[in-house]
Amino acid sequence: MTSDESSERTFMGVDRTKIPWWPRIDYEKCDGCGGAYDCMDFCPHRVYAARDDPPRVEVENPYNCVVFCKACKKMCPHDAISFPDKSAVLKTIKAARQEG
Amino acid sequence: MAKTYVLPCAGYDRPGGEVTRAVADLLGQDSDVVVGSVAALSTARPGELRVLRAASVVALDGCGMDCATRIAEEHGARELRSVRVTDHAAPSAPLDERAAAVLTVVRELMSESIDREVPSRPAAGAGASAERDIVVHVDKFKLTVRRGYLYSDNDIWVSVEGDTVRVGASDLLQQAVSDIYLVDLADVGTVVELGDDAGSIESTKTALEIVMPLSGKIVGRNERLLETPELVNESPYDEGWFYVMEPADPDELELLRPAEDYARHASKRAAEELGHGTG
Repeated sequence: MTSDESSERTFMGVDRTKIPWWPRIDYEKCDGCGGAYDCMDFCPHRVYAARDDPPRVEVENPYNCVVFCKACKKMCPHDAISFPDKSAVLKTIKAARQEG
Repeated sequence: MAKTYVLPCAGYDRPGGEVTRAVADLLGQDSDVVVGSVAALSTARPGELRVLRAASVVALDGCGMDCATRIAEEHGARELRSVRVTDHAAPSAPLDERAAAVLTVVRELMSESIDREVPSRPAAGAGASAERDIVVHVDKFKLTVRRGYLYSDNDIWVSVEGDTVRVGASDLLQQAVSDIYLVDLADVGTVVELGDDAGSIESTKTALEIVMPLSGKIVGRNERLLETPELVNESPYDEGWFYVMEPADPDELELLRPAEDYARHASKRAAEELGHGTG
């Protein structure tokens, strides 16, 4: 799946690019798992990309991220991954649906 | 073919530990062998746990403490066999002779594993009638969508049953995660909002939270899944359900996709994702 494909996606009827749901990385904590990049290895949607100087991950395709999925967070040994407040995102989705 | 995860105890405090290291070094040259790390398992490194749980495991124990076996068991090894060095090689023999003896035993075990196919689960939608299910073929995959159910974009179905709803995983979701070996369900009485996670599933490929398709209270859960999680794979729309809920806001049903709409959505997703990863 590419980011171009994801731009054509909707979630609950709302253009995916209008939904601010993707992982945030705490670079005080992320060390790229010493080059193992556990979150990137886990996520099948190519949300993450590896950087190696210094080792860390970046969110390369935020709209590939499955809305409300936080599975990668549990993969992080340093608790460096966080997600937005789910309730606020749900309000955004419902508001966008009403705007049509 | 599944990888074999070989876990040497690697103990430096026992003579057999040296043998397990030597055997693991030799086996590690095989492309279908992954040499595991007791240190990585002991610290529950996610990548290491994932490989362990997806593979056929051979624990190499240097002595009767069976440390490698115990650590593999504690961390969820599924198909686990153990080889204890002291059962196959005399402590007084030279290292290369002891390693060769143990290596022979391990290779025999591995050949048994290779010959034994993983039992295949019934084809998705087996027994489904044309009236009951929409069947979509995507490349080599056959995808079923139960008519009359509603579907979230997190691939959870909802069946309205009077004042309550029943929820479960769609066929697309169960095929994407592959063989499920653990289902953890939230307690009856738990109140959830749409989008909350309630319970999780673990498969040989991945681990996913169950993202709730509606707000409400869980009033029943499928206790059978705790003992037979594979029902989600075998019967996603019937015996593999997760919860019964009292919905808090019936208007939220409008946020879900009817079966025909979901079938189109799922077939597109399946073309992109099946064979590559999770849904």
